[in-house]
Amino acid sequence: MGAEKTLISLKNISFTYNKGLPTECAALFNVDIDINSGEIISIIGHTGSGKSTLVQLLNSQLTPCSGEITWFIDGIYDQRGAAVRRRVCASVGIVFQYPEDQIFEETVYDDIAFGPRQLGKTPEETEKLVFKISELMGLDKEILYKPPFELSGGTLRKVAIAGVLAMEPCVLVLDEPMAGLDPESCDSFARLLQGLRSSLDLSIVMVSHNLEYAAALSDKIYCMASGRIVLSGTPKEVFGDIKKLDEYQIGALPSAIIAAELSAAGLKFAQTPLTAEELAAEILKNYGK
Amino acid sequence: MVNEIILGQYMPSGSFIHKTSPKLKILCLFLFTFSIFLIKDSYLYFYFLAVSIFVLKLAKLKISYLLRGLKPLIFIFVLTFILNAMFSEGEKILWEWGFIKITAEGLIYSFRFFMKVTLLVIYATLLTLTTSPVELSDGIEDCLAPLKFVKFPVHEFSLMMTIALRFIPTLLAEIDKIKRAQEARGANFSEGSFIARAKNFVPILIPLFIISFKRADELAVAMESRCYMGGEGRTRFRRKKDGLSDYLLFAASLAVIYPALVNYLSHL
Repeated sequence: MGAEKTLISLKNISFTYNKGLPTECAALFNVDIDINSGEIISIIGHTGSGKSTLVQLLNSQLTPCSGEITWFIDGIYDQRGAAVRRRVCASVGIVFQYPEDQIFEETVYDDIAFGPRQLGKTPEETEKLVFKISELMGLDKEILYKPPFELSGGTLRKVAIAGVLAMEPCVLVLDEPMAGLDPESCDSFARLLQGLRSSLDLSIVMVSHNLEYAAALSDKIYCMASGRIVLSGTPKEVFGDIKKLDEYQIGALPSAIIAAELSAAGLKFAQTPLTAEELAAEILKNYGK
Repeated sequence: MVNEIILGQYMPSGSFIHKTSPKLKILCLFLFTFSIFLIKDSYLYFYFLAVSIFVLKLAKLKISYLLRGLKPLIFIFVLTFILNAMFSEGEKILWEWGFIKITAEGLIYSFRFFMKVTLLVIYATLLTLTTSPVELSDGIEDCLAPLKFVKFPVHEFSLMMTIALRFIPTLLAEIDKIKRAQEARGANFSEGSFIARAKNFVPILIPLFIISFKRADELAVAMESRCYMGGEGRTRFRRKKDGLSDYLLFAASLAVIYPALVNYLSHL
């Protein structure tokens, strides 16, 4: 990670769906988030807490009703200082839930190349990009020329993410990337994300229900409930605050719960353990081992 | 956004119009349609307009719901009105310019046409506002029941209709979702020539087709695993016998269309 530089800053954002109609529905209230370069950020919270709305604000598919979003990314604003939606879309790549549903080309290669072609890249540039991205995503070269619908679900998801990465975004936003994957695919996927961050110098924003992966991968976690950010900080800070997590029914990490119970019984913990291994190490320290 | 209110979308309010048997409501719609075409004197159009607003009030719905249903049709209404006014024959010429003549008869004719179409849309919207899609297809099944004697697959037909109606909002939501996803990877739906724009819909249509086929497959499996065997000997979950209030409503609508019948017969 280089020097921390803010890429997207959201200040006091509120958003309401169908404003002025009987079906009006407020989704976000006074949200403040900064997304820095090279960071992995997780947003956790219940269904309907406003996570997906927040994600769509990041690439300007939705415009906030009040508050301000600023992108500190080159070439996003036109001469008049207005953000150009297409440019924002290209620099903030969003992978929606079940992204394999958006695949439509005849071969995997063409599907990954869709983004670069839309951006007006030459065939040579496109080819280079597709090969680079598919190698990073761990896709075999022979897969590239197959029709996508012959592939397994996990591979398809990689193809779909490669399609977004081929736009060369500087922020990658993933909405529930692990939904519907088996545990092994989840593990390899988590490693993949970390690899992408270092090799492409990406910032990653991940919306997740899976607290273990959020804890293991993120630099910063934001917890959302009913459209508000109720808790934020490093994984250790967030998961150490079991009371607040419980209050908003976000759910806590088993290791953190055990640590809280044990420290109530007199054991000493230097930090909140996020994994079973960390928990074991902390307990052993108490017995001088 | 696609999730705007669709023409005549069901609006539950719990009124007795909502609870009336859908079969009789469909029959009432037929009666009203029929009598709107019978009318000879223009003032009766206002009578039917007043009746429709009265029914709307009985159904505890706002006039704005009805107007919202009419909004997308304004263009067609205005166009037909203008065309009818300009090109119909008549004696009393009010204004003339080249081959365009506006006559008094033409104006009256186009007004009548305009009222007919508006009233038809209003009454059809009243039916769909007060009847849920499932009830509607039950009602259609009941109305088509006599066709069973000529081996028409009434049940399958109404099932098809129910499924089609049920999936309109789902598909709209799906289109919205795919559109966002493709925009996120650089697709552009709002710029370019007509052909370029049409081409841009391929990335939406293909995933939509695939998802629809998948969904159809899943639906078929779900229905089969609940032992769906087609219409033969199938009973209904909602069994409601027509009661006194249903017949009263039907009788009331017969009374309402009486002036139209009288008007028609007196001009014979």
